[in-house]
Amino acid sequence: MTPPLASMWMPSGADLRLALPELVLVGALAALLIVPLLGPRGARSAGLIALLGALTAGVAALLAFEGLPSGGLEIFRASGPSDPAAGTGMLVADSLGMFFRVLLMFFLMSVLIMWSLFDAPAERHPTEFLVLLVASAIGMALMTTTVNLLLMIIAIELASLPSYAMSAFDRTRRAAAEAALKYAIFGAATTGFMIFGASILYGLTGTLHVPGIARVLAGQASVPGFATTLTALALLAVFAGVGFKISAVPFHFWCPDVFEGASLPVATWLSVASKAAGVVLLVRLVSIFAEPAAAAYVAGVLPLIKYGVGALAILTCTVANLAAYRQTSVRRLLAYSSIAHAGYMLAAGAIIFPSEQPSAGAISAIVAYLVVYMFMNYGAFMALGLVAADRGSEDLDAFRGLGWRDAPTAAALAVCLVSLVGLPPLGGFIVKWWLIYALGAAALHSPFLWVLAGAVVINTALSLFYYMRVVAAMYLGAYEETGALRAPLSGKVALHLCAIILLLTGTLWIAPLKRNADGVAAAAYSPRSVNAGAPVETSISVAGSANVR
Amino acid sequence: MYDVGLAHYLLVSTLVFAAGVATMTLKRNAIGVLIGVELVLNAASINFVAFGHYRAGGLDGQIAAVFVIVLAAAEAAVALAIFLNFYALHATVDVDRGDNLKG
Repeated sequence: MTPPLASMWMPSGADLRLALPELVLVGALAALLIVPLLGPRGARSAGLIALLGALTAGVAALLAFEGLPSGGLEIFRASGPSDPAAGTGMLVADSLGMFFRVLLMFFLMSVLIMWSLFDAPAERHPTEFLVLLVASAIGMALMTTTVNLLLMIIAIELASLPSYAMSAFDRTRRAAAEAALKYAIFGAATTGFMIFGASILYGLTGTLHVPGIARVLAGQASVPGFATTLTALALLAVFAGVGFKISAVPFHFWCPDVFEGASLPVATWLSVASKAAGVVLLVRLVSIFAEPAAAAYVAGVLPLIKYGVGALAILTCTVANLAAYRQTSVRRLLAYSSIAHAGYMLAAGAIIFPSEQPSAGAISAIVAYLVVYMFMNYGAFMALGLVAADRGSEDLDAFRGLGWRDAPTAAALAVCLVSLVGLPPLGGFIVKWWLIYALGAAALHSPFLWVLAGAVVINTALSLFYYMRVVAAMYLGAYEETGALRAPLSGKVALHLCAIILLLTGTLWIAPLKRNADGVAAAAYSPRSVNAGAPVETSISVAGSANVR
Repeated sequence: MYDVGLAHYLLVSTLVFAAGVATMTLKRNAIGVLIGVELVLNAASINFVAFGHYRAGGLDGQIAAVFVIVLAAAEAAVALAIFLNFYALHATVDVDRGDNLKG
């Protein structure tokens, strides 16, 4: 059966409406390029366009939440040889993807504010920088909603290529050039392996549709031999590409260097957005591979994913926490801290397996973790920027005596750091507790997970010491001069807002945070509910389009 | 006369992939490493087209190959710009010479 050509690629209005956030961002990208030609140049107008685009896209994503069916739906369907009747989707529209877009747009606005404080005044090419920033945001938004291997590769590249360019944006700094060189070479090599692995997977299964691949693999997984080895290697290559974005440990070498070489807003952007997108993509991949025929995958290559992700998580947080000890630059310390946090989130990726525990618990833990992680990391980087603006240095010594010079700033930074450790009564403790709880609940069925939960707890204790070095420097160091930090007031306000939100999520907002995270996780995409059959599809997409309006 | 089948294409792509990986790991020049990456990407393109024709049917494989070519071009553009900037500041594109930052 060959469908008419037009139906193979024409998207429907309902599909376009669900992809509105990305379309708005593309519009903002075009506006950023065109407006300087018409007259208004300069950082102010360019920043305003980007801010407006991010705001509109965020609101569009928030509005799209309402009409989403539970379990999500695949959009931009094209009929392929693997599934000629129903067609396979390019993107999914589900609660997890929409939640991530809202979060990403909010964070994009926060980073734009940080950029306008620290970088914009001296920036000679504001338009070009913002084009790169917005383009990488589109790539990250796509990364979290794709169910097609080809689109996944394109999305990862769309997120990566602007990031390489952004980290080299200050062309006069030797450190920036070196960091970008390492980032680009390492990224290009990983992408090469990932694309080659994807081509092998395509050959083994005959489809680029990820749930389709999972279905075929579940069918043939019980036969050990050459095909199984090849499948495992191909999957490893694909996961390596995702691991590079998360900076999981064998693929983390670029991370501290890039954070040190790039400007502060770029480092902040990469530390949260790029890792969050990678984590959500990994969760999506693992939950798809875990889905079809829960009994069939036990014997084959798919447990490799579970133990692989778990081992990667242990390795990532342990190596990062140990490496963070010898850092004297607070920027590099925060870089290793962000790698460690990526490791904690990876740990939850190892328990998304329906035979052991409803995966909703793990996804809910990751969703809550991402929200809180965004605020605590942004606060820490903002404080770093404020101190650097005053002292001209990002070393630990620059923080000495801060607790006596500028008590409010130091207190807010201390709140962010204590939350990064994961101590009560702050948001960081609550989300880490949910994570460990989810691990423990799943560990009743699989002893390996006790090791994983234990690793998270031990690493939390390890991380206490290096975060406390900064706090100790602020409060115990010799005190030299008086007077508050000479730094932008709005930066301080943003830092205090982060601290207040961390205090609230650790106390009064626990219940709403949990409720929303559970809601997002419960309605997340699951291939079983979507690919039930063609008639169901049409009714779902009609209902979706009616509600979105 | 031989019939050319899937195995022949896969043999070529494996050779190209191996050459790419060898180039990537042995070259210390950044442009050499980039050439290795391009070889790996081209091997993937051969795979996509061959599998698409002999295994999967449809146009998915061919489309994927076209996208991979475009991605390779975009990546080369960004990477070469970064190499050029590195060269302007360090007067070398040897990846081992970038050792001011300790990974």
